[in-house]
Amino acid sequence: MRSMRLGLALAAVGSVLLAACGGGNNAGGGATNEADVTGTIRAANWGGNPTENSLVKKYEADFMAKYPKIKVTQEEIPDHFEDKIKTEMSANNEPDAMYVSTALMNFAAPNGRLLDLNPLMSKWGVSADEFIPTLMTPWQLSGKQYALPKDFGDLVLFYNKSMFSAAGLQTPTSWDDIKSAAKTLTKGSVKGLSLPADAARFDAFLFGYGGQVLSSDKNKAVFNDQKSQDALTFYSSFQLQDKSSDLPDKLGATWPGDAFGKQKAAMVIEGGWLIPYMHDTYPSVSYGSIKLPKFPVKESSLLFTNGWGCSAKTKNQDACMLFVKYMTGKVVQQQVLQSGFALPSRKDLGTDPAITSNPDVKNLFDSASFATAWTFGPHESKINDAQNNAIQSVLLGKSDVKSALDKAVADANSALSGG
Amino acid sequence: MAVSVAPKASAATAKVNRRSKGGGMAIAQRRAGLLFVTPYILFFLLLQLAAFAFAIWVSFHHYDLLALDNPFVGLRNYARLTVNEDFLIALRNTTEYAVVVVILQTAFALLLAVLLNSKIKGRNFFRTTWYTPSVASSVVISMIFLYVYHPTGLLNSILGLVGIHTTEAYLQSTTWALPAIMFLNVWTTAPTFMLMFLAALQDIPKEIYEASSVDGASAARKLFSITIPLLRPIIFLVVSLGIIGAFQIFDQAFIMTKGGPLKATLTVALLIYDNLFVDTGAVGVACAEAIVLGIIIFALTLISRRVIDTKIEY
Repeated sequence: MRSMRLGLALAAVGSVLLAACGGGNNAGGGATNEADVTGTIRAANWGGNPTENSLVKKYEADFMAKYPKIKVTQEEIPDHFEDKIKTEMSANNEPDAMYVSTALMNFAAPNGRLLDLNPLMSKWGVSADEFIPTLMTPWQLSGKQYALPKDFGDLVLFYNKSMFSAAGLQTPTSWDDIKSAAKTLTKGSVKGLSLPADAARFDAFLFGYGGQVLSSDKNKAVFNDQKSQDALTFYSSFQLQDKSSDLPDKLGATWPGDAFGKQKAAMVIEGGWLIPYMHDTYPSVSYGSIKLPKFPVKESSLLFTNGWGCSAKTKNQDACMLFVKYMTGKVVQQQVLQSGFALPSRKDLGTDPAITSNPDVKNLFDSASFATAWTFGPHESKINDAQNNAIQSVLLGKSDVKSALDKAVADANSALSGG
Repeated sequence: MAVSVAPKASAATAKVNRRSKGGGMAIAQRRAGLLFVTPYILFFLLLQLAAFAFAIWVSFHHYDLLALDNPFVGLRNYARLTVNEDFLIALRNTTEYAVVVVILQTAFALLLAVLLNSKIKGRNFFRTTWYTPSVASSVVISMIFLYVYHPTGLLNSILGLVGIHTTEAYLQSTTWALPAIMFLNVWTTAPTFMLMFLAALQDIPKEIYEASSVDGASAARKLFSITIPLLRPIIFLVVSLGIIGAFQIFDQAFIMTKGGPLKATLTVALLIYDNLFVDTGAVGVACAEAIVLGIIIFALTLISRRVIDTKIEY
């Protein structure tokens, strides 16, 4: 009896202690119930686009309505997002939650400046399986998950329907069709196509021809082999041999989409961002899209993705994780999808009517199955500079394909080896 | 000898006299003077000298903004510059830019000042309008010139009016991009220097011109034998300010071309920015570049002083 009473007493004391501990941990981030998590977090997004910025503001207000104990202050960084975050990180004054681009991931994660989300994901019930697998890998480094994908974009071919029907052309289905249509549609100051000197377009061709930017161990640049040369030869043949393509700025446009809207180019290779842009800026242009036709080796497209992540130094890890969970969750991504800005990174939205009822959006969403994530590690800015310079020097007629790519690979390798 | 010593001696006695007359007053004045310069001295020490010293320190280290450990590497960052292709391209572009811009803007500013100093009608109107470009921010001017140089922009429209039909995209051309930025800079900075020349021109005693007229000197002779020699100190000022500004060219290139096409407008300041923010872990290299740029500007200023700012002889 006595010992039992003692045991009960000890248990009672113990439970009080536990409760005290639990109470104490609430403030420090030990809450186990979502509704008990408290804290203030600063959340940074880039805001070059006012519409996107106001959408983020709305989602954050929705989040605070759902979690009244968590306060979110939006920090909009209009331009040079990574530069700003980098200086804030070096001053130990970075926001708690932030957009994570692949560029940000590449300098912040290896330096331990981003929070590994894996433990928090299991704590707050987020599973990696909810997301499209190719969109999760850019945020992974040595078994850690540094961000969750908030959306993605990829590339398809957009064509001007009225220009095609005026010339009596059918919807293209192969690169031969595109090549001959581009020639037919080139008249005066109008070109059939506008291919920019940009690795973020050309690399779709490179991968489709069986080429690679980096070796499999990612330590060497290899984009000067025969396959890569063939890809660049084909990419530049529109402008150099056929004269059926030109750089956007030569067409009086700031980017290919602008040339497409001004009807100075009948076809462009762009992503989902073109859809709201055309709707807002050039509503009268009627256009359609096709998935990029199969290249000689395989089908190919490029995948661009951004995520939400947390600073490794945040004092409110749980609040930040709940915020990331909400911003990459179904409710927000469904609204993103309906706004037309980007495609959802979640598997469960693949059958959403906003995708299945719009052929352009469906082309974009389906292309993700064969698209390659466009990211090349910590030195990607130098690697992309080298690629862009090679494409530009070929398109401007300053260099032949082989010597341009050889030089670019040498430049990229000197960056990779720390020179 | 005696003549040159005399004024010095009198100045010294004057100083002594002043001090002995009212010592308390002088101390109060000095204190007030110190008080007035203290904010600037503090600003200078903290934000300029300290930053400068830190940059020198960083230039001897492998420095990454985000890394915890930044090892000492001695002169490696400097040694790398001599084989860094980008730095050599940037240095060549910047030098080319500085030579053309300094010569043109000095000549242009002098020309404008001489014109405005003569008795032409509507002088005040011209003084105001010609100065306008210097008042606007370089960012605004750059945005305006993006339109001017656009393939279907102002420049090509004007060329079209005189019968030259072209859709040249100047800022996307490896031949024209740098000259386009040079022209823009001459246009915006020349009026500032024009004001300096104008002030100096009005200090030249009229008697000298009158005397030369009596001697039958032509206008050109007056310009080269009187005006320019007497403007020497101000020409030195304009040339050195021009060199300093030209070697630091950043905003126009950053906004209009981002250093492109094919590095045709890559300048040293732009490269420093790229190394600092775009490339991870090249802060040490960026600082080494900045120090080298500083030394170049300092040396050129000293040389221009040697060449131009010699003694004035009437």
